[in-house]
Amino acid sequence: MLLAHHARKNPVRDTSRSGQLFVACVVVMMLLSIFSETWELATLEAEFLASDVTLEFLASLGLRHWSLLELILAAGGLAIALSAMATVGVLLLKAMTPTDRRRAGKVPIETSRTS
Amino acid sequence: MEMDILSSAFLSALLVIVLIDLVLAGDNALVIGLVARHLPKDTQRKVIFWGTFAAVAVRAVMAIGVVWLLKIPGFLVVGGVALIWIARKLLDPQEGGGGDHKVAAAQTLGAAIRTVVIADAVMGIDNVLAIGGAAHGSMLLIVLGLLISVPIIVWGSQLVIRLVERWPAVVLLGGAVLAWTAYGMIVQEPLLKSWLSAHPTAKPILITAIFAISLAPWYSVHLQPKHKPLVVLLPALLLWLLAFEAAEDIWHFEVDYLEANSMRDYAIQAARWFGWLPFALAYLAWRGRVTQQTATAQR
Repeated sequence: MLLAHHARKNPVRDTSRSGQLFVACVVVMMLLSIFSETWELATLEAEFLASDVTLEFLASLGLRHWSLLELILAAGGLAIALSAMATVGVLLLKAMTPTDRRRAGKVPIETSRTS
Repeated sequence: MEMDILSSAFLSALLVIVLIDLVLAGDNALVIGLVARHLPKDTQRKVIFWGTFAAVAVRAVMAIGVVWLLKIPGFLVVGGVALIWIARKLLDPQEGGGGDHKVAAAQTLGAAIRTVVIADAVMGIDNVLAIGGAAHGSMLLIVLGLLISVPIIVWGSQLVIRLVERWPAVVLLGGAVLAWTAYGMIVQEPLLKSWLSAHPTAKPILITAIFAISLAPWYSVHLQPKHKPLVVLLPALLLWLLAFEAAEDIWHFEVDYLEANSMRDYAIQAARWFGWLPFALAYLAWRGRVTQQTATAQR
């Protein structure tokens, strides 16, 4: 790890937001995989747990069968989807924010005092 | 345990090993450069050749030793805990900072090779342990992991440096994968398997704690100040919710919020979904006070 720290001592640039988002999505997918595995087993063992909507949803994802490669690919897709949603959201907000009608088309009048 | 070569499990394990080699291997080239920097050019070439040969030999011996050790009951947990610590150190921004690395330049060929062998034996342990944990007992994967690390050791230090500079997220991803590998090692421990089967909620609690411990140093530095409390709040919230699941396992009661019909049931559900709020607010208030005091002290 000496080499990784040596490279980071004088980085050309810091970790990008998209890189951070991607790794965060990878972590989320790993967590969902473990949670899905846990509650799939629990659902098998105890039928009264099956009424819990959240646990049923987690179990139905079937992520416990996914390997790391599939989780990373899914995380990439999730990161792209989240970025696209964020971009669309910002554009929609800008489009929906009304411009100030009092300011549209107005030119500031400069008053000059002439003697 | 040998897997099918083209199966997704094998390819995933291979991907893990490549990532581990990228972030943990290659130290040998750096050490050789530091140790041999004051030697004459022809001696440097000998140090590079014999140092690299020794590095590969030492790693092969250590790999055999790690595979043997991990078969001893209890050592998978030890290895997993060690990997968590390695992942945390890899992502700790304080680590590796400061001036030159503390490797003394050698004055003779023998001293240089001896320093390289010892330094690589010490620094290669994390690489070999991580490969041993990721290989799931497959000798083919261990051999592939060593073979992949050899070109990195011999030629790849500049490549690794350029890769990390171009995509700094590789190190963060490497840390996350190390934490995942550590979790895999701990849950495969034969001594714990029956207990984990009886208490399935322990696995999500374990993976949450492992990720929190490994990734917190990195995120605590790289997040914007207004988002930094999330480093503590998010894992704490997850653990709070999981604690209720664990309590249901241990004390054998079940309360489904759709089927709650008594004050006790409502109280448990209220505690589960809202009980964390006072602690979160207290933490934010304490953090705000500490930040203010620090800012005042700096002025």
